[in-house]
Amino acid sequence: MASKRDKCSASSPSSNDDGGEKAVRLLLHTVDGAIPYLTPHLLETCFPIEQVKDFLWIGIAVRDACISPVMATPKKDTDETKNKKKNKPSGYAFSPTTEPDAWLLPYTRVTVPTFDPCQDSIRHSHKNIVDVTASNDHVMVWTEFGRQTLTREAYDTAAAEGLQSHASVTLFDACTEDAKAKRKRASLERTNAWREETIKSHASDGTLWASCLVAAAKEDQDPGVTQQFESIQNALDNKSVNGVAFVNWQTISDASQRVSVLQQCIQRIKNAPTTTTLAVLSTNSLEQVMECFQQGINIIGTNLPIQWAKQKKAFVCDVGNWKNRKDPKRPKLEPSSVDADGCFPVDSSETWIRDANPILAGCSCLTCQQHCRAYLYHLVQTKELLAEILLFIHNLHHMIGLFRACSQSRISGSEEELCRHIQDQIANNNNNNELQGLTKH
Amino acid sequence: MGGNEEEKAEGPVPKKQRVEEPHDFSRLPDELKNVDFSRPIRWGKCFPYISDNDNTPAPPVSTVPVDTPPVFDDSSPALCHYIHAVSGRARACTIHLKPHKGQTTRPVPTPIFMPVGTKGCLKGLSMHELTTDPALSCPIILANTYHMALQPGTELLDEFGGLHCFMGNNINNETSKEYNFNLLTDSGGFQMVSLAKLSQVTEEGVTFENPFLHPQKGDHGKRYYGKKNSTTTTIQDEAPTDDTNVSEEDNNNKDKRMMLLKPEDSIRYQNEIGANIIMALDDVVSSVEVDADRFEMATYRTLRWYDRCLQAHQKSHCQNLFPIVQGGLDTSPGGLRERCLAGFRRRELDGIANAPGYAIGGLAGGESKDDFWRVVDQCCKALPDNKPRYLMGVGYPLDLVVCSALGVDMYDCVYPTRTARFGVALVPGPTPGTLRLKSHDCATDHNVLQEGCPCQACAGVHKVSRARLHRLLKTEHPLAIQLLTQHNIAYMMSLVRQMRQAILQDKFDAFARDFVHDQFRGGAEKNNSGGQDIPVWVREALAAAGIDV
Repeated sequence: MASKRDKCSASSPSSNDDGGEKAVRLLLHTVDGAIPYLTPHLLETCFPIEQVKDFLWIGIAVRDACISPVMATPKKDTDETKNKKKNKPSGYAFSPTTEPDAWLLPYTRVTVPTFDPCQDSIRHSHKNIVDVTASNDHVMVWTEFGRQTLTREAYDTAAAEGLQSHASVTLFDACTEDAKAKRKRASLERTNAWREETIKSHASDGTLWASCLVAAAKEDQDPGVTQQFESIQNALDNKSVNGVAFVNWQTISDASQRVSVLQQCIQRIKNAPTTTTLAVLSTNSLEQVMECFQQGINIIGTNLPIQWAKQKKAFVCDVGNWKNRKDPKRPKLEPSSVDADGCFPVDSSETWIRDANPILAGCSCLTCQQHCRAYLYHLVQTKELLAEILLFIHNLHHMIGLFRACSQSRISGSEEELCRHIQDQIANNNNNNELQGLTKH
Repeated sequence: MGGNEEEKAEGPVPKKQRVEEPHDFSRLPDELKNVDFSRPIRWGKCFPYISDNDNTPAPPVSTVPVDTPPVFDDSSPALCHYIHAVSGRARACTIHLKPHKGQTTRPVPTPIFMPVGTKGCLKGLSMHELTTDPALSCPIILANTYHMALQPGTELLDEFGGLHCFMGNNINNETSKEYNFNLLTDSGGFQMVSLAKLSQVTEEGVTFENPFLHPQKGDHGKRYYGKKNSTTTTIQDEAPTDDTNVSEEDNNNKDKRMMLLKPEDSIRYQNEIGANIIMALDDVVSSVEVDADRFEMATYRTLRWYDRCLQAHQKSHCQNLFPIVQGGLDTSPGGLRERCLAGFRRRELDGIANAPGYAIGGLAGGESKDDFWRVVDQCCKALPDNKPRYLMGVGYPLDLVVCSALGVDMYDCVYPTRTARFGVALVPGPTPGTLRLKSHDCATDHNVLQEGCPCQACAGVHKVSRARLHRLLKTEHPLAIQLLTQHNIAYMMSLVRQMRQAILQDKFDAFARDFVHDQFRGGAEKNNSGGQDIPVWVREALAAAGIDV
């Protein structure tokens, strides 16, 4: 069977086009296997594959994309009532044969078990606590349809055959930073074992990324941790995997600790080929995104554009003028209150009420090309879904612009300058609640 | 001849006499006192209708080719209405509207369904998709004056050059491609019914209790963000914008904050919104209301308010003011509908008004279908053929087919978009022609919503299965609502395009017959054709249009 993967025009996760290992890509988290707000028409119009393939990859979590109803087999279907019952699903379970949405096929797709198991647990748990459990056979995954069992075999089948992804991350059992030592050790052992098994059974036509439990990496002396990195290093040496995906990094709350842990992880696989993909599956803030970029990560996963749209925020951080920061002729900037993510809260920005300007001057997204701030403010005030749609289009477009700038700066060796430029804006905001981000019209 | 004599006998009536004293609301207006109600009210009719003055067939309708360029003249400076073909009473026309500032004209082919964008947008649908997706390609959408006046305020819209610019045009961006669409605004009258508990009708206008200012909403007037000041007399007792010092007394006062919508205000708002077609404020009474006096009062008031709307209309060179025919369900000779129609005819013949089109109001409010079609039938028989006819608030596919057969050109309804948000798709087939995607049946149904539908969910390589939509709806994924809304609007647009094509080919009777038989298949197993369960009202309505089902 010809794979759908072969037919599409997506860039290969192992290819070295567009600057090779220096490219920085956004791994956009999908929800239920689909990008919220983007219909096929909007996706094609606003983010044509030719323009974004080097910067936008799609992350699909088996956790929500491959859940299907399970139909009960009726004992007797003699009367009408029983016929009706026959149609009611008896429950939901993972279906490894679930296919991706057709309009996502041209885009590079990366399959993961879940982006943030701890967050899934908190979201769905009635007790609002993290409850991530596993056995040697499976992980328990929190889904919209209750807790589900995900086995290594089912996951690998879903990634390779159902979702036909271009790259997949080996199954992992993540636990929280404050989990007991026994639990941490068990999760490392399982993750290591599943990685080995997946590598053995992995077909050669897809790219495999080894999952690496980041939180555990702090335990230098732990034999499980040592084994994890040895195993990954071996796999990279044997070219059994093409990349390493750092899992649960975003849960480390302290920024300096996050940076140091990531440095340690990268240090431990320093012998990896230069073409190795380094991915962080999930980031929760612009600060984390920039930290990943600064540490040399190639693929940075996030759902920030979606999150911001839901929170009615517009991403306006200046990503285009970092090269000439000290140029006195640079356009005068307008102070504006934006948050630590470089976002403008539209719902409370009363200055937008009569503002006929686009969200961001010079932005080429559909939202900025066709709609003004006043209209967006109106849509937010009236709680229209269209507000989220238009904000998401802008946020994603501008986020891709940030990743484009990151790639360019990495190629030109000016990463520090870009990081400083972005971090200055965030720092300014944190100190003064003002950020010199928006160019004046 | 008789008709002309009748008009002469009635004579022109000075405008001032039309505004009656408050105690006289139920008195027959002076201009109708000499009308001969023994004959049906009609004017400007063409074949297949009978002539205005006697029972002889009316002259044939003059048709023009589909691509005829518009001509705007003094008599109709903002609307050019061409009839291309008739099939029975159904007609295929094009309405050319005066383009809004800087826009190119976008003709409106009829029959047409106008999706409702209550607050200046269609829920879950971008203007880009609405205007550029070939499956939708809506030439005209509807916005609600009442809602726009509250949020963001029509004053603000006026500053932006109208709602067209506000919705889809970045005026500071030279590279911007403005979306090309027409707008129709209602008058706010419908809210008399939909917000009946919050409104009170007087001769002066309608007084609404502002739902956004109710203290329980906790909004404290924040919604008036579009108004620079509160000098207008329309919105009384402007709410404070600061929440910090809200006392209990203030909260009590908010209960009393009322919004008075006068005909003059309605027109001023609509002038500021800048829609291509605007509606006169009418006194809308729920069609299931039992108080006959209330209907009578509302009918006459609608005529009086139309005069006030005409006086207040400041942009007749670019905006078309449609009066609304009211009169409840009284289709009897000389009944309320006829009296309302006679009032409009009188004004046209006297040269007081030259309405560019007419709307039929007061329906789709829960009345019986038998009453419904008879009102539509009567209005279509009466209203002039050289002007578009707009049936307000009607949007069920079957209603569109039946009413198009009777001669209606334009429709609007929230049904396709609202029902989409409830997870219901419009599909052809047995009545009610809907598919509930949240039902268990769809959980494992891997068919598309409708084979052959050109919408994004059904067409091309993308094809989204019912099971996938069911799954997305289960998790309240916004994409499900977006795709379903698109499908339902595409379904309606496809339906009106098919109707137009059938009329152009003079095969509308066959189209209507097939459509009805597709919806009602009862008895098909006995005699192949089905249709045994076609409701009486459908049979009678189509029979009145000359179509035997």
